[in-house]
Amino acid sequence: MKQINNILEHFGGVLILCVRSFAYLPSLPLQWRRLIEQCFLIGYTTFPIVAILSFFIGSVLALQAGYSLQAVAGQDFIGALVGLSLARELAPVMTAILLAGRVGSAISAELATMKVYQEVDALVTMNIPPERILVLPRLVAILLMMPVLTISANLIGWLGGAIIAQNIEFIQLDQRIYFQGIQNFVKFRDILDGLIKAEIFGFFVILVSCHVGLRTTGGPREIGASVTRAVVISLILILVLDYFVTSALMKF
Amino acid sequence: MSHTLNTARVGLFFLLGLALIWVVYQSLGDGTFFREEGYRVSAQFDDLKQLKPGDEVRMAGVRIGSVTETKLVRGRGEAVLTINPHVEIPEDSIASVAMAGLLGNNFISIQVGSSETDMEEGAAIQTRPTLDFNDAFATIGDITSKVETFFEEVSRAVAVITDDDDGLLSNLNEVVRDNRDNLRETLANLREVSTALAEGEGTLGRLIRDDEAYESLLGIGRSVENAAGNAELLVSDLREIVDQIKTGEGPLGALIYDETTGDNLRRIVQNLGEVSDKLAAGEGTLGRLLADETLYHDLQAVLQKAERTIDGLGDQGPITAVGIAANALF
Repeated sequence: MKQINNILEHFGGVLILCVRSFAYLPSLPLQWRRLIEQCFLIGYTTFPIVAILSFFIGSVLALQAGYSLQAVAGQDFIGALVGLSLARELAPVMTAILLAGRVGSAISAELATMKVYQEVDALVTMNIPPERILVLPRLVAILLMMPVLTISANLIGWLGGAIIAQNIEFIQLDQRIYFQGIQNFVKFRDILDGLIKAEIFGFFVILVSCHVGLRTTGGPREIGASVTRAVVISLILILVLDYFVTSALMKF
Repeated sequence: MSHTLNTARVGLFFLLGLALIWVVYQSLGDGTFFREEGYRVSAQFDDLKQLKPGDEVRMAGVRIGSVTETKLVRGRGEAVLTINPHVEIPEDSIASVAMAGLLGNNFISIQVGSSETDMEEGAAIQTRPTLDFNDAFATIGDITSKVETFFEEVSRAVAVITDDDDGLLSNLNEVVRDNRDNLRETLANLREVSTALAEGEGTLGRLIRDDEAYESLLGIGRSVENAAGNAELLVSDLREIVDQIKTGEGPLGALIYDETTGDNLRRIVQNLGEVSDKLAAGEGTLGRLLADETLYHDLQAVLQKAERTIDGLGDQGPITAVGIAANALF
């Protein structure tokens, strides 16, 4: 009972935090520096790891597809397979998971520290709502950066798949055929679905991280617990949301 | 300083992201976010196969629109096609559901008509059913069942042949089993004969093996040939002779064909007749000899006398002989 209550409390807390933050949207132009800073931290510095990850995801997809399709001589479809699975599923989900690990944990740690050392309370005392300067810039930043990260992940992943498909000796698929497969089978709608998913995942990862960070009570030990909680909740949320968002997008 | 740099980086990064999205949007080409622009044409099919909204409409292989809706109209499948506004389809064009690959990607293929007038918004296009894998497999299924019945018949026939008690094969088996020894002997004999033949034994073998036999056969053949030549010559000679006879040449010819000879012969025969007549009438010496009985009696008497004389001689034969001899000496 207590746990259900806990979950519901979290749920409500996240919703309230979201609404409150966006209530301060008009103040965004005043804190565009903060926005740029968050964009830099969330987007720009995350890009290298996203690039490495998606490159190898594409490569391993091409490798596995080539290995599996070898038996049915269907290697011409490697492009379609890598392209579609990256665009629709892997690029958004993997980017979101990376984000939860790299950015979500950092945010929750930072906010938890501020909360534990009563900086947040000081802000409230100064009549500065913490949602306005701590949460809103981060949410807007992730909304701006997530599509960029995801589309980069897509393209880099495709490229990795192409390089592997061409150079592994038991595949040796011509790049033109590979990219033609992507062109024939991947519609822009698939990319768009992926971007929408990524946007939703990223938004919730940041929201949950902020919420868990701001809810931290007690001593410094609670900071670590908050970070763990934030990452775990983010990961669960990503995978559960993935199913529902994907099935919802298929209906449109 | 650091802040401006970061701002520039973020700005560049964001623009780069937008550019990438735009590049992907352009290169993937189909460029359909949601609804397409264009006029709508309906196509009714008995069977829409696996056609679904979003599939392509192609004319001569060029994408000219897409299927926006599939629905059931009085038991027939109707596909609503949205055609790009700048593409004109002649009124008598024919649409068919075509297959784009083995994976079951279908599209509407429009065969261009020759009409001057073009289709308008909401018009219905003519359609033509296409054979797909299911139809092909159904046909193959029919063929398979026919083949099956055929093989059933064959196997029934085979069963009759191989029937354990009464089948043809069992009968054959029996025959073979019963005559195994005979067969073996026959085969052995055959083998012997063939080895003899092979080794050149016996007439036939020698004939086969020996060159001399062949030569002599050849000689016989040649003699026969010669004989035939001679016979031919003979025949031709004969023919010549017959020809000569026919033309009256030579003694035989004269005999047969010359009239003077005939006359002579006739006279001879006549004379002979006269002679025989005279003989019969008892004219002449010979005639009298034949016709006169007195002469016969005379002869008889003479002969009787002779007999008696000889008889007498017979009684005193040796003495007489000696007497004669003595008489002769003395």
